[in-house]
Parts: sequence; structure tokens; C-alpha cells
Amino acid sequence: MARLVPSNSARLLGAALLALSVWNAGWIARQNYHWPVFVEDDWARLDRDLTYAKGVLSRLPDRHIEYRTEGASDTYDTDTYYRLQNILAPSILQRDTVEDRYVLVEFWTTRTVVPLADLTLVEDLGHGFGLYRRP
Amino acid sequence: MFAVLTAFSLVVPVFVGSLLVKRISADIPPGLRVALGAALGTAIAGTMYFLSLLLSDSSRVALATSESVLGGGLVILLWSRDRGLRNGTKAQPSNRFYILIFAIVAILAGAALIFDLDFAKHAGGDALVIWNLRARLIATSRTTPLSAILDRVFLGFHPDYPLLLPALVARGWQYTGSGTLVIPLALASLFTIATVGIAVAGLRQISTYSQSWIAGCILAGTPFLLGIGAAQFADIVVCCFMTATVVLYGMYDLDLAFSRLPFLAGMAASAAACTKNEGILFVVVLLTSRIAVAFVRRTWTRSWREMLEFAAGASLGLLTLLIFKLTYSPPGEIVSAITAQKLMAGMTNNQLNLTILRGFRNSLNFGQWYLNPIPLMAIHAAVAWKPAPASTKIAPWFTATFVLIGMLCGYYILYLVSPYDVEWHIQSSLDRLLVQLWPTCVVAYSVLASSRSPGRERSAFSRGRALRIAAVLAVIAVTLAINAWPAQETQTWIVTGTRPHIELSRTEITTGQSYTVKIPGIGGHHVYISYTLDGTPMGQFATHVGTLGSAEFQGSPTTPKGTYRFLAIRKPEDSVWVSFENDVSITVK
Repeated sequence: MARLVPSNSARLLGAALLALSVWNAGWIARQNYHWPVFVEDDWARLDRDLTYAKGVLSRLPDRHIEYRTEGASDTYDTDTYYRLQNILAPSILQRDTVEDRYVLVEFWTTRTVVPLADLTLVEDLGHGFGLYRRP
Repeated sequence: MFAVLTAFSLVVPVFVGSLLVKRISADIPPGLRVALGAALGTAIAGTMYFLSLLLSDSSRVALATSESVLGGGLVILLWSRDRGLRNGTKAQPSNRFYILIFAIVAILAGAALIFDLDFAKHAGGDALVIWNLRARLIATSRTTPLSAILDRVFLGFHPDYPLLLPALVARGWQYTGSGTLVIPLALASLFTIATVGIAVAGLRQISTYSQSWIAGCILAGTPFLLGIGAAQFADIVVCCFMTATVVLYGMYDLDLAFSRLPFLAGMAASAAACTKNEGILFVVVLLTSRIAVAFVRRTWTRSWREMLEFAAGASLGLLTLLIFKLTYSPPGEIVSAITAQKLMAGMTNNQLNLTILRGFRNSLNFGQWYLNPIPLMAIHAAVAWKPAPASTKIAPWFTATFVLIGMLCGYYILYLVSPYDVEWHIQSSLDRLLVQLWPTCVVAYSVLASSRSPGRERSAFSRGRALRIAAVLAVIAVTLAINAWPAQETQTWIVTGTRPHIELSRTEITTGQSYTVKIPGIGGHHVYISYTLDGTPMGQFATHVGTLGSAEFQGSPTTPKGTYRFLAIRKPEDSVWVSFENDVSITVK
């Protein structure tokens, strides 16, 4: 196959695209730069802290567990729920109360498990999580 | 041991895929073979796992089946002989300057990807609530993982999405025996790198070497492509399979001696369909393009054989998808919204069409570039394009361009019939949909700018000069028009020192009913709203407030019952909450 020779204008445009790509790639690298990388963060700590809780919940007869928060400040959002759901799977955390007997309560602000008026405390799972049972 | 198991879970499919590509067509050079092998090998592993999961509803059986198939396939491939071995494609003179620039861009992009992977290592958005959560439910459920995935608690998160990606992640987690982040991160990196690799190595076959490096630089210099990869979104997986399909058909159209490539293209296309619903649209558009090719080429026997090859390659994936869609998946919200009546109503609704067009216009920087390469690419293609000689009939850019236009039309129609607030729908999805098509766009541009069609080099530059000048002027005009059109019509926020007013369209709803929250004076923003349920603080939720200051919500079966009271609002980038001036509440019964 004969060598394909681009015209000068096409070559110039190609060179401009290369320059632009170098600029874009350098810009992304600069934007994303941070150090150190892949160190333990809040999520990893929570995952480690909940190892015991995960074992307890997985031994419950039903994988559906009601999930409540106590003292949720405006720092609590739905991502937090999905983060917890990911960590505690295969248990399924329900935010409504239908047919559940067990209730996992997260004490968002105090991180201290205390008795609740309408529930019976089954076990303090540590790190602000309590397993309760509806009477 | 952990590292060995992680590597083993990825290396085996890549090796099987590469070997399959070699056996199907020995003419494919090693670089492209490995890149395609990475996509196709993981497609086989994921599809087999997905199919077996549907049939057995057991993650252990699914793992055993997928690994047996991979092992059996490996043995068969090792014993079989290469096909189609010829002299191979003639090498072009390599240009060290282009390689050097690509190396610089690749190093910078590689560093950016690592930093991005660290930012999003726990997955973001859809990857967190859909893909990785499903993978975790599959990998950890002692019994019936499918019932866990399709549990009513997760009904709001597209249970109609196919399970190829969760299957791949779950497979890796079963190998390592833990839900380590390494598996989804490694898969995300694999698909991101394979996408660029397939485009670059494939363009070396259907375009010029120098153009393939330019294309590689453009792709590696696309922040959002790296971003969706790092965030572990399924979009990068679909993107990789789409790119593989388009490149394979480009090679097939350029040289019909690659007669078995439609088989591989079928595998890649069906894998895209098994990953996300956009992949199903892709298969439809692709088949339409090949039917169009058959009509243009008028070689019916050859086209029939091509279709059979494609069907053979796609059969496993499409069968798996069919079983999932017919047996397990609830109807998709968008697909079930498509009716001729709604489509006609959408097409005649000027305001809706304008909103969608504006959405497309606002998404032109979908790659989140510092410097957008699209205008330069368009001018480059317009200046350098030379028509293929009449004997070629189907140029290698045809399928890529057809797919690109067909998919964009498909997305436009889906927005026309969208059951959601269209402004929110576009804002939350269009950038990702466009970046899925970005490598296909780069392939189409590259082949237009530097096609390797036989005889093309003899075309005189002067031919079609007027057409080219018109195209360049059109690109400049469109670019200017885009810049002249204001980006957002109404983006308003709370005046400092005042408090916003909030209105609710209803005071009480039951499951299935919806209500609108309206905050006059706020428009076109993503916001956080803090709230209480029966007096208990519940934190915040995120939503998009449209340009008219309203957002719609629907009560689902899993919405906790009680009285909701909305307290304050803030922008994601602000930490300061602004309380509403009035007290409103709604009761969910």
C-alpha cells in the first residue's frame, strides 16, 4: 500500500489536535493530583468497624432489617444509607416498617447506643449501631 | 495469594479472548488482539455467569459454570488452528513524533486515571447504588441472589438493567473471597484502557498510523471518559463493547477477507446489550446499518453470511438478555412509556423539542475538556476527507457514522417520550450517553480524515474543494452559533439576606401518587434539602430544581410513611443552609 501523505493543512490540524490533547491530559492530571493515594478513608474504616455487625445481621432469620437513624443532622444524606447498605449486604436495609421484627438503629450524632422507648435492645453492635427488636 | 487470585480472575478471560481473536483471524496484529481479547474475554465470562445465574439463581453455580466454560474454551482454542492467516497488513512507516506525543498523553492520562480512581474508589452514583450493590448482593447472598437484587427495596434503581457488569464484579469477589475494592477498580481500569487500546490499534488497520495516534491522544485527553471509568460506571463497559463492534465492522468493510469478524462484532454488540439498556438500542441501530450496507453493496449472499456470523456471535448474549427481560426484569420505565401517541405529542411539542435541543447543545462539552477538540476535529475531517473510489462502495467510516447518527436520533426520541422531567433527565444522563459514543465518533472522524481505502491516496485534493470549504464554514458557523446561544436561560438563586419560599402541590399522597415541590426564585440547580420525618431529623436529600423552580417526587412502596417537613436548602458547593421562610409539610400514607 502506498504511503498516505496528508496535505499540509491536514497535517497542521493534526498537530493542533495533538497539542490540544497534551494540554487536556496535563490539565486533568493537574486537576486530579493529590497525595497520598489509596489510603484508608472513612468508608474503609466503617467497613472494618462493622465486621462484627455484619456477622450478627447475616445470622438473623430474615435478611430484611428495618433501618433507622437517630439524631440525623444535615450531614446525613442518602449516599450514607447506600454506603451502609453496600457494607452490610446481603442484609437488606428497609427504611419502612412493613413486616420487620429487627431494627438497626444508627445514632448519627452521638455514636452511642441508648435504649429506645418503642424498641427492645438486642445488642450494641458498636460504633453507634444498635440492633433492636420490635416487641 | 490475594493479588494472585485478583490477577487470575482477570488474566484468564483476557487470555481466552485474545486466543479467540487469534483463532478467528490470525491477521489481527497482537496489540489489537489483546485489546479486543480483554473486551471479548470479559464479555464471555460475564455473559456465562449472568446466564448461569438466571438459570440456577446461585452465585456458586454461576461461578462454576463461567469458569468451566472459560477453561473448556481455553482447551479447545489451544488445540484449534489459526484461521485466515495471510501475509498480514502491510506496515506503514511509523512516525516517532506521534508516538512520543501519545506516550506523553498516555502518561499524563494514566496519572489522572490513578488519581481519579482514588477519588472514586468506593464508586460514585449509579455504580454505588446499582452496579456494585448488585454485585455485592450476588456475591454474598447465601440463597437466591436474584430475589435480593429484585427486592422491592431496590425497585427505584432500574431493576430492568441487565447484570453483566455486576456478574463480572461478583465473579472477582468470589475469587478473592472478599468484597475488595480492587476488583471493581481493576475492571474499570481494564475497560477504560481497552477502549482506548481498541480505538488506537483498530485505527492502525483502517486509518493511518499517525491518525491512530492522534485519535489515541484525543481519547486519552478526554477527562470524562477517564472519569466514568474511574467511577466504575457501566457506561465505560458499554462504551468499550460499542467501540470494539464499530472497529471490527470498519475492518470488515475495508477488507472483506476479514470474513469472520462479524462473529466477534456480534459477541461485542450483544455484550453491550447485556450491560445496559442503551446497548439494546445499539444492537438495533447496528443491524439497521448492516441492512443498509447490504442494500448498497447488493451482494446478498455475502450479506446473508455476514448476518449469520453476527447472529452466531451474538446468540449467547441475546439469549441471556431475552431470558432476563422476559422472566425477571420488570418493564423499564422509559421503554414502557413509548407509545405512538406520546411520540407524536412529543414531536409536536415545540417547547419540549427546544428543551431537548438546548440540552444537547449544553452537553457539547460532555467530555469536560479544558479545550474542546470537536471543532478542530470537524475542520480536520472536512479538510482531509476524500471520497472513496467507487469500487469500494462501503467506506470503513460508514458503520461508525451510521451508528453515531442512529444512536443520537434514538436518544432524542427517548427524551421525547421520557416519563421524567425532561430537563432533569437530560442533565442526569446525556453527558454519559454521549461519552459512550465518543470513541465511535473519534473512529468515524479518524477514518474520514485519513481513510486507508485502496486507491484513496490517488484522489486529487482539489476534488470536492467547494464541498470542503462549505463544511469548514459550516463548522465555524455552528461553533459561533453555539457560543452565541446562552447556555442557561434561567439560573437563579436566593438573594443574599432573604429566605426562600417553598410550595407543595399536595399535602397528602399515597403510594404511586406524585407531588411537586416549588421554590420560586430558584432555577436550574442541583440542591440539597434538609427535612424531618414525623419530627425526627432525617438529614438531607439531593434533587434537581428545574428552570421553573420545581421538582417532582413520587411516593414509592418503599417510601417511609409519615409527615415530611422541609427545613432548609443549600447548593452542593455551599456549606451554608438557608432556612425556608414558611413551614410546609406533606403526609405520605
